[in-house]
Amino acid sequence: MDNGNLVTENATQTLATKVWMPKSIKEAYELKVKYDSNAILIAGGTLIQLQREQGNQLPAHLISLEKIDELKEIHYFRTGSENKVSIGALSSLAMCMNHPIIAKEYPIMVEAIKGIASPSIRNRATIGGNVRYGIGDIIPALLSLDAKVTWFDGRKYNTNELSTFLEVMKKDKNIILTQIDIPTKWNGLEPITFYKKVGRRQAFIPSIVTVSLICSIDLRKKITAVRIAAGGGGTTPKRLVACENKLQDLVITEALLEDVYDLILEEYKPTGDPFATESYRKSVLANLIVAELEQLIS
Amino acid sequence: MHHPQQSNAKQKKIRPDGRSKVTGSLKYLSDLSFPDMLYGKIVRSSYPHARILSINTEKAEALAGVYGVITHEDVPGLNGFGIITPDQPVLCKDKVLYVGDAIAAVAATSIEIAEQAIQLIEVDYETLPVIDDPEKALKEDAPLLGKDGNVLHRAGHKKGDVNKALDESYVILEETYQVPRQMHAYMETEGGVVVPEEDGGISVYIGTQHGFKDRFQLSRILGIEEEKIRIISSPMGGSFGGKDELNIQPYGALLALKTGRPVKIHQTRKESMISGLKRHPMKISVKTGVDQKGNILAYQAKIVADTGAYATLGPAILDFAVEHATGPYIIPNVEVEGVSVYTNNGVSGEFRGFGGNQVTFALEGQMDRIAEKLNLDPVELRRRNIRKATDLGPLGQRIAETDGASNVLESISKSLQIKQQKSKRSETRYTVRGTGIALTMHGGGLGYGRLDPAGGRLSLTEKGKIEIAFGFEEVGQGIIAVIETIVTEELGCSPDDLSILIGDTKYVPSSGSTTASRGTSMVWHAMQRMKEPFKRLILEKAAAILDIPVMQLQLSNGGVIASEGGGTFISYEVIAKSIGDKEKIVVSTNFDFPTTPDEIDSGHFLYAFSGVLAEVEINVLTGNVRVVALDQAVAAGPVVNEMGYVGQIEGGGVMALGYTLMEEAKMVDSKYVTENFDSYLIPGIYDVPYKMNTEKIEKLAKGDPYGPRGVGEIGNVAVAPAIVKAIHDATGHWVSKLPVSSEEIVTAVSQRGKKRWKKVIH
Repeated sequence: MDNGNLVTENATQTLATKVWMPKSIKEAYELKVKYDSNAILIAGGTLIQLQREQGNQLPAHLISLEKIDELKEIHYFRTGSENKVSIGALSSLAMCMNHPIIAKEYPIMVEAIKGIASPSIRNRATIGGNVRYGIGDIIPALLSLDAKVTWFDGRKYNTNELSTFLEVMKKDKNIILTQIDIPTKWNGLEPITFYKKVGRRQAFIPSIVTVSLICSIDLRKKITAVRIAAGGGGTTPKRLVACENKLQDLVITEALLEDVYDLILEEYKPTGDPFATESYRKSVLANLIVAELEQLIS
Repeated sequence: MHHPQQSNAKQKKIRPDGRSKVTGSLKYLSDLSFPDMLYGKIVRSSYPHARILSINTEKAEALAGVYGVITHEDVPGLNGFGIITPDQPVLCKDKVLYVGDAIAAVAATSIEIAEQAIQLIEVDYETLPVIDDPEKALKEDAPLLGKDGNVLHRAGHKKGDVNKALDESYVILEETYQVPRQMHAYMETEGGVVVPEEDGGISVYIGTQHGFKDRFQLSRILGIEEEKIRIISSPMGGSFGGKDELNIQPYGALLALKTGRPVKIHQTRKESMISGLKRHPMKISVKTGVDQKGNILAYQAKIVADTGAYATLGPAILDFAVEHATGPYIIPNVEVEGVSVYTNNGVSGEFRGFGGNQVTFALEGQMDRIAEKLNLDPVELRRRNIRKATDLGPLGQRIAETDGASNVLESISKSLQIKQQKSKRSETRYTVRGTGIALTMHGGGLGYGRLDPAGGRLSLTEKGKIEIAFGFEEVGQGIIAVIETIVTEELGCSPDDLSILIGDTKYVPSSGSTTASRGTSMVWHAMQRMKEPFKRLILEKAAAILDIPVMQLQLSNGGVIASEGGGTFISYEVIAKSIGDKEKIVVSTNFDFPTTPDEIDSGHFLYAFSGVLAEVEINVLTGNVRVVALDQAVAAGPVVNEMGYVGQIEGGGVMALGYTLMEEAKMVDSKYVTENFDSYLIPGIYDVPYKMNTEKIEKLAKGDPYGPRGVGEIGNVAVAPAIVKAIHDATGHWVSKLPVSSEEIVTAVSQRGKKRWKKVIH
C-alpha cells in the first residue's frame, strides 16, 4: 500500500471520517498539513474516544501514527557523561511501565503510569499521546526528570525541553512528537522521589492534583538538588521554579517549610472546575509537598 | 451466629443465573436482534424549560434509511405516562419541562442513520425561566410547572406537642441535612426491542420491574387492548428502581406499530443519564429536643424534596420519607412535614431505599450530634430511645411484632467495640481513622391503602416438570435463586424437577411489582398458600396409581416416594402422563401484601432492620476519605439464600458508599454537568473495603407467621450516617451535606491545627 492510503471509512458520525495510516513521520506530517484543521493525529486513540463519547465530533480526517514502527522503540544510551533512555512517542504506557530499564532507573515513571486510567487503556494509550494531551499525568513526572523531547516540524527534528514543546505545540498543531529522552543524571545521587496523584476516587480517575518531586539531600539535610512539577485537572503542568530556587542549597527546617508552603500557594496556579475549587487544589499541593519534605527531617 | 434450623448447605448454593451473567454469555433483552429490525433514537429537549413553537420532521423523513418519524401527533391514545399520575408526555407538544423531555423519535436501518435523522429534526423553542431549586419553585412569583402549581405533594405526621416539648428540652439540636441526586448506574442502560404482531398487537422485549404495569400503561398510550400487548421483561442488567417507570417502551412501541417492523432502542449512557430517573435530592431541617438523660422528647423535621419535572412515584416516596423520619426510635412528640416540589431538574423517582436513605441520614446525624452534646455514648443514647418489640410503628400503626431494632443495635455495638480497639492503632503520620454506627428500620411492601397484590401459580406440566410461575422480574437481585430455594424446600422436590417461569406477561400470573423489598417475602407467602393443595393433588394422583394411601406418600427428588421408604417411587413424569387434559394439576393464589390493620395511609407492617458499622481512614493532606470497613447487622427474618442475602447487603452498602462519598448527578441551571461515568463517579474496587461482614439475625417474634422479609433495600439505607459519624470520630468535624467534600474535610482538619505549617487558604 502506498503512503497515505485510505483504509477505513467511518460513518458513525454525521460527518464521515477518513482514517489515514501513513508509514513514515514525513508522510504523516504532509497529510496533517494537507488537511490541517480538518485532521487530527491519532496514536492510541483513548483520549479521542473519550472526547467522542463526550459529544465531540470526529474531524474529517484521522491520521493514525500506528504504522510508524520506529516510534515504538525504547533505547538505553550509555555515552559516559550523558546516559539517557529514549522512548519512542508511540510506546504504549504499559510498554513503558513494564520496561526493565525504565522500571529500574525511573520508578517515578512507573508510579505515574500506574495511576493513569485502567490497565486496558494503558495497553492502548501512548506516552506521546499523554504528553500531547497537554495535561497528561505523565507530564509532571517527565518535567521533574528534566526530560527532553524531539519533534518533527516538517523541515527538521527539534530537541528541546518538554516545557518548551508544551508551548510550541499550542501554536503549531501540525508538529509531530517523536521521542522523549530522560537523562539519568540523578543516578549516583540516590535521589528521593515522590509522585502523587489525587482524584475524586482511588483509581481510574482524572487528576485533581498531580505532583512529582525529586530531590537529593546531604547528611546535614541540605537540599543539593530539587525538581518539583505539578499539574492536575485542566492545569498545564509546570515546574515550581520559585520553590525549587528557594529550597536549593538550604537545610530543611520547620521555618523553611512554612515559607515553602506559602510559596507553593503563590506559585501554583490551578484551574478549578465544578468538582474541585482552585483553593482546594492549592492547599492539597502545598500539603503534599511540605509533608514530603517534612518527613526528610524527622 | 449459629442457626441450627435455618443454616444449611443449600442456602449457600450458586444462583442458577449466576454463571451466564458472570461469564457474559447471557443475552439481555437489549442484546436481541430480529429480522428487518430498525433502530430507534429519541429527540430530547435542548432546554430544561421552554415552549415548543414548531417541530419540523421533513428533512429527517426524507433521509434515506429512515422508515418512521413520530411526534405527539402520532400518539393514538393518552399522550402521557406515570405509574400513578400519567403527567409525563410521551412526546411533548407545546412545552418541555426538563432536558430529558422527548419531542420526537425516529426509526432507521442503522443507529448512525437514526442518529443523523434526529439531528435533522428542527424544533423551535421559546426558552422560559428555569427553576433549578425547590425553594425557588415555592416562591409566590415562581412560574408554574405543574397543573396545580409547583407542589406535587405534601405529607406529614404529628404526635404530641413538639413546641412544648422543645421548650422543656435540656438540649435542642438543630441542623439542616442535604443529600444529592443519585443515579442508579445500572450496567444495562434502558433498552430492548418492540416487535409488531400480526393481530395488531406488539411484543415488548424490554426490561422492567413490573411487566403488567407496563402493559397497562402502553395500552393506554397506544389505544389497544392490554391482551394484545405482551411484555417480556426479564432478565435485565440492574434496575434499583430506575426501570420501574416506563422509559423507552412507548417510543419503541409507537415506532414498531408505525413502521410495521421490529424496532430496537438502547440508550447510550449519556441518553440514560439525561432522561433517566434519579434519587430525590432532599433538604431536611431538623430540630431535636432531648432531656439530660438522653431521652428524646421532640423531633421536628421539614423535608423539601426536589421531584423534578414529573410525578412518577414522587408522592409515595415522600410518604415513605415521612413515615421513616423517626426510624426505630420511640419519640413522644413528633412533627414531620414534607413537601415534594416540581422543578426543571431531572425527574426524581423510584430508587432503592425509597426516601428512607435521605431521612435516615438526618435522623442518625441528629442522634450522633446529640450524643456528643450530652457527652453520652452514641450506642447508649440509641439504646435509651429504641423501640421495643411490641411498640407501634412510626405512624402509630400496629406492626408485626419485632425486636429487630434492639437486635441490630446490640449486634453492631459489639462489632464497634472490637473495631474501636484496633482503629486508632492503624493511624499513620498523615492519616487518621474513626468509626461510627447507624441504624435503620425499613418497611417492605407499598404500605396501607395502596394496591399491593401478589400471587403465584404452581402446576405440573405435561412433561412432568413442576412449573412455578410468578409475575416478578429478575433485575439482578437473585429472585430465581430465591424461587428455587423456597419451592424446593417447601415441596421437597429437587431443583431439577422445577421449571421456573417469570418475566413474560403471556405466561405468568400477575403478582404485583418487583419493588419495595417484596419479592422474597411474596414468593414465600405464595408457597405457604399453594404448597399443601398442590402436594395433595399430586399425592392423590400418585396414590391412585400406586394404590397406596395418600398419607403414606410424599414429594421427593424426581417423583413421589413412600414416607417409610422401601423403594416405592413414581416419577413426576409418569404422574403427568397419567393425567388427562381436563384434570390438569394447577394451583394458583392471589393475595395482598400484609398491611397494618390500622387505617393509616401508607403505613407499613413488615419491617427489616440494619445496624451499620463504618470505619474510615482520612488523609489529612488531601481530605480524602476511604472506607476501610463497612459491616452490617441485619434483622430480616430467616435467610433464604445466603449468597443472595449477603450480596444484597454488600451491594447495597457499596451503592450507599458511593452516595456518601462521590455520587452526584450535578446540575447547573437544570442541565447535567455529569453526563457520563467520566464525571459521575461510582465506587471502583479500590474504594470498597477489602472485606465486608454481614451479621444475619434470623430470629423472629414467637409465632410470627410472616416468614422472610426482603433485603433488597435495607443494606443501602443507613450507610451514609455511619460513614459521617466515622469521619467525625476521626476529625471532630460534622458533615451535613452529601457527597462528602474532600475540601470541606481538609479545611476542617487544618482549622483544627493538625499540622502547624498548614494554614487555611482564603
